[in-house]
Amino acid sequence: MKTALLSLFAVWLGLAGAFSSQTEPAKPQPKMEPVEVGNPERIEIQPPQILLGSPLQKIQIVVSGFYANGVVQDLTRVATLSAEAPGVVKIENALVSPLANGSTEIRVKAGGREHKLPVKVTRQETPEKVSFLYGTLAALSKNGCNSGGCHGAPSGKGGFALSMVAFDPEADKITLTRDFYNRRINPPDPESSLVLRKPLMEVAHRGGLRLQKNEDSYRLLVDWIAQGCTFDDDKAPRLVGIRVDPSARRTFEWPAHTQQLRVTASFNDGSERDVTRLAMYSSSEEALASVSETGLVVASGRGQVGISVRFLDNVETCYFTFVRKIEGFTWQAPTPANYVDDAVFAKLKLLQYQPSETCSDAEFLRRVFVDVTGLLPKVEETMAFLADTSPNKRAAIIDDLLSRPAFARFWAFKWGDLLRISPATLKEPGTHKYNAWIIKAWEENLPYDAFARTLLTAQGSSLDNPPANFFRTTTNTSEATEMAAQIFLGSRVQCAKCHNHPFEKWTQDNYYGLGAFFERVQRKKGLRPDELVIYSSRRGEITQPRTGKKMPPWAPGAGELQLPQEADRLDAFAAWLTAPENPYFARVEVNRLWWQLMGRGIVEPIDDFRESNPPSNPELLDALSRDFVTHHFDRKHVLRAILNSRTYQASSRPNASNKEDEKNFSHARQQMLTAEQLLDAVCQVTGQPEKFGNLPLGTPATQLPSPQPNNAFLVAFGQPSRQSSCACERQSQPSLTQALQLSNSQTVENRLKNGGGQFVQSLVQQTKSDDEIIEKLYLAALCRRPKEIELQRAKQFIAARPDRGTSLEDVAWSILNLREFVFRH
Amino acid sequence: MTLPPHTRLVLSSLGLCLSGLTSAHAASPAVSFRQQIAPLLLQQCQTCHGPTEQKGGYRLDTFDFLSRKDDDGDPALVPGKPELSDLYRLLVTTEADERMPKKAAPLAPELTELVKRWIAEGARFDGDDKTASLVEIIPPQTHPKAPEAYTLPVPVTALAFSPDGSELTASGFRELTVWSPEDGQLLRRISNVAPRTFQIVYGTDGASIAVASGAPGEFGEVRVYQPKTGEMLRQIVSAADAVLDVKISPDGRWIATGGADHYVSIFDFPTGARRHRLAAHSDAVTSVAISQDSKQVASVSIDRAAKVFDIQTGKLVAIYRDHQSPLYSVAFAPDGKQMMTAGYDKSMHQWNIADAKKQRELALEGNVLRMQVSGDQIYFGGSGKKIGQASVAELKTTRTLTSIEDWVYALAIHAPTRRLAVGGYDGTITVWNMEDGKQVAHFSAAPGYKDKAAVIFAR
Repeated sequence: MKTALLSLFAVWLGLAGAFSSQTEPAKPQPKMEPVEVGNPERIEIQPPQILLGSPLQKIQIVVSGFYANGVVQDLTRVATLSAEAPGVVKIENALVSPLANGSTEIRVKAGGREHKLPVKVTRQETPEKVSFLYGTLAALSKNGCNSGGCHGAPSGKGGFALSMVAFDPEADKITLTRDFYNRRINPPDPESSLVLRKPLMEVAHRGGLRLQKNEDSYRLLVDWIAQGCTFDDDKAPRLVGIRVDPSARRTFEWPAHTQQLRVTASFNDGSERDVTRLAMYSSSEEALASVSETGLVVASGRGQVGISVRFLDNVETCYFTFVRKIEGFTWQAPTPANYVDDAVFAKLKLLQYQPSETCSDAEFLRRVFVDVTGLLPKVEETMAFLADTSPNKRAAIIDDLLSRPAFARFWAFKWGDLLRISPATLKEPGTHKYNAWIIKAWEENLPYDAFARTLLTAQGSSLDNPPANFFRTTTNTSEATEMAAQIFLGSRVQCAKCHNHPFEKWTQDNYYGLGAFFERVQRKKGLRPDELVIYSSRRGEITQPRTGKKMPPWAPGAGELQLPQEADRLDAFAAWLTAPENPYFARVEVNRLWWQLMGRGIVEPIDDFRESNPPSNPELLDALSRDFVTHHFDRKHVLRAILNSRTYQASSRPNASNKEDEKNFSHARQQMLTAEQLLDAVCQVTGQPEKFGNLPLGTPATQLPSPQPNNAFLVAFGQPSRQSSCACERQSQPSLTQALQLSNSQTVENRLKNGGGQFVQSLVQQTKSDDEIIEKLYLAALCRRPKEIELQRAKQFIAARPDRGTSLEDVAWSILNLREFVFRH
Repeated sequence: MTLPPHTRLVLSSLGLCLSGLTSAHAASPAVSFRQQIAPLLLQQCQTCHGPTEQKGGYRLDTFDFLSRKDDDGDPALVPGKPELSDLYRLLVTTEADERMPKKAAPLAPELTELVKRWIAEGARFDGDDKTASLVEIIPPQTHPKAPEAYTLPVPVTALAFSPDGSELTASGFRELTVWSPEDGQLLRRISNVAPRTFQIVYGTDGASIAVASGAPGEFGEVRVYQPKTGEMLRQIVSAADAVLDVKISPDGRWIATGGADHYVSIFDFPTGARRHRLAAHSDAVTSVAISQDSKQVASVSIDRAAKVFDIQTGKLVAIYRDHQSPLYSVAFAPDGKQMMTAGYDKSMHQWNIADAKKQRELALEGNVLRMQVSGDQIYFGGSGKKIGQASVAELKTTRTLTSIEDWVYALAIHAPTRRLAVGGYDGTITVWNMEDGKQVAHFSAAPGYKDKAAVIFAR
């Protein structure tokens, strides 16, 4: 479970960074361009009126300008706001705070337009009683006190443990007031409370400076303590949701690149409250746009960003696209081949990235072979393809490859990673039978809904019914729930096991609600060796450990499912999951198919679908998903659409316009071959296969039924041990060991030398001249003929040495160490 | 806002220095390490450069450590040369990743100037013992006055009966309050006390009370007062964090303390001389106890461990680690052979000192914060909002006193008058007659607090 643990740990660390950097002294302010106000057709003010009913309330005003050409921009930071009557309100950076009871109007001027906003201030004489749930806990959350890296960690910090982002108010109550002899608060002298003096750094604080006296958080905490640390009673209003303005997706054209947000919380008594200064903000891509602690979004690049707004356990995400006219940019693109290109090019055109030209035949052939079959083409196949002059030759080879056995085996191998197929859990017979079943599914092109349904509902002996091994890789409800969610919903729900998900709407209740589907999965030993019987019991309920409540089955978007007691819950889950209207099922799979061919998901990482991690091109994801559903979950159909697109066939060489683009698919990605692909490539070029255990000689590494932990080459290049369903288990970091494996290992060296010069002999036998040998090496390894200079250098090298055989080996060695060989491009 | 005494000291002496500077530089009094530098270092630096952590291999919790070199071999202190002394240089450097204190705003220029002047003047040590910790050499402070009338109740965290049972002394805010246990009348108030008091014990002669107190996270102290006049007689302990418990041995020879600074200390009570300072725990020491024969001292801690030491030698006698949660309470059985310990794991353990093996366990409904043995019975309270009574011999519940509204923070027993008093988070004191289990009085221990009737109930 090391990888799973590591990824969890990364989430913890990430959390600390994302939501708690408010008062770090070093955080630089992003640069802001002056607003070009121009002549808006109309301006719009949010909110339409200002009602301030307590001394603690503040209201953020947001001013938007709408222009004749359909463009919109945020005018908040340039609008002039002035109150007609003095002394009623104070306005600072479009934030209105009350001064005294009274009524007035705020005059809002921007771009030659003017609006008046009615203002009413009441009840300033009555101190507002601070709500523990929505004041105190919000303040502690806002300042990062209860973030995962600080006191929200499972065991807290410095003996002070809060629940992460206040998911457990009951526990926080005790911790803040009763625990440790009331150590942290001091009502008779509120400002001397440790819970304030520490983050103010008046008392040494490991966590550093986290609070300033001029922040709303400080005032709330002081008042709450001064009022005797009371809690919301049963009649107090409860939060029902938050709303973020602007609510519609906006596209900004440079120099417009900022947006002030406004967050409103609504309560079950119908009341509303501005919580802009208490909400927490995070950007899905800091490099593209950052968001300040006061909700000001500032973009520095081009593209789409999701800004997540959190107020306690409510999370909403709003999306902005930032575009910029590039000097001298004229749209030039290959003719779109299909809807894939339509969606990708539309986005690229909007963002003004010029797609790269279509790749060469040689590049295409090597890429499509490696991506679809895991293997390099044979020299004859390459020569035939390069010589072929028919205009449809690319489409033809795609169809050819998709119907080869190597395709089914390679994609079954990919699913082996995902389903964690390994003898460690499934034993040898289970591993082989399960793998064989998946290969068959790919060979028959079993529709994906049937594929998923079969896995989820397979019962009986793991030997007689291979898909029953699906649940065999898990030992309990949690593992089964997490695996199913990760594979089929693209969701990492693990976080919600112990606390509400830090970035998503997933609550702890949801986790156990989803778990209710898998609570009844039973695993018992069969009579035969290595046999496990999987079946679904008709009883058994799951308990939410924090509340002690029995949780009914719950599915995202569908809510609680009313099922008869005797219903098979796995059937119910599979039926909900594979319904054509399910918003997750098709998207997650097409995104995975896309990622496997393009090297980057439209949603990335592919198992982290959440509102706060938006797709880089939603229209593309929608189009693929629609096509997939319309074609009855035919995965080959979607693969074919992607492979035939200009987008897939784009060159991996970026042009001047798109070299900064990493996520809009303007050019193909160059990435290192996987461990298995690389080993197969070495075997293919040298003509000497690798022997794996008892498997027949010639079994490619990309078709292995299970990992080979003893193979140093595969391990060095990141072969996963299949302990996690996360694609991140496959390591893709370059390392020194890898360089040594290629330059100096037995895997490569023995193939070139120790076989008694077999490799070179085979070359010499078949061909005569150096020219021919070198050309064949290039075709085998790189799917292209050597350039003149490459040919000449190789020939000079051979000519200058006495032993032709050794020199040929050295030439081959140098080709195997080329970046062009090691990479897919 | 209220500054802790140390800061106040720094600022007030600073006023002195600045006025001195403006008039005549030569005439300004020398900067005092004890009075001006030590409080500053204690408050700003010691968390990362002290006994628990030594960032950069450097610590400054004593003058001796302070003047040593750090990991880089750079001198921290070059008397007469502030610019060469890292102690000063790193406070004012413009290199953001070098500047101290880390992750915080730079110190005010007045404060860095003070350090600079002290080093320029020769970095003199004006104390007696260069190896004494900073807290110990800072001179005792006069604490600010308590509020005349309380606007809110404050939790009652300590209670003690006078030897004759006629008076009940309770913790207040910056004071002790003395009450009549029979009717809840306020008898008098004792001032010059730290903001919070965690334990009050009478000396064997009844002519002195020892008070464990402090301001959480800032300082701790044990002071001895004359109970009738309220005069402060002496200060025994100065610590870097609140002192949470103090006990005087039955023979009057020893006084033992434990505190949030993780230390257990043993002093000679008549002279106040420290005999042992035991780094016994890895977290706050919440309670200490001394055996009936005055030969052993026991401690429990948030670190979940319970320990027993020889009071004379300070040597470890037993460690008990069977608890699953922070411990708050410890008591010796009357025979001195067994310990009772309890805390947040809702279970009282009784175990042998000889082999540290658990003998009995009593499952409880809530956390236990306080326990006290009286005769052959043990009384205890905590989050369960009731007082339990169990026989020590069998560790079986014999009686439960209920009707407490919130967590129990203090418990005192006066056996001769058969009175048991309990103080709570809600700021009330409840007195029972242990004979019939009936309430004698129930009152708010906040002088002048008007929201509720001060005396809620008196029989």
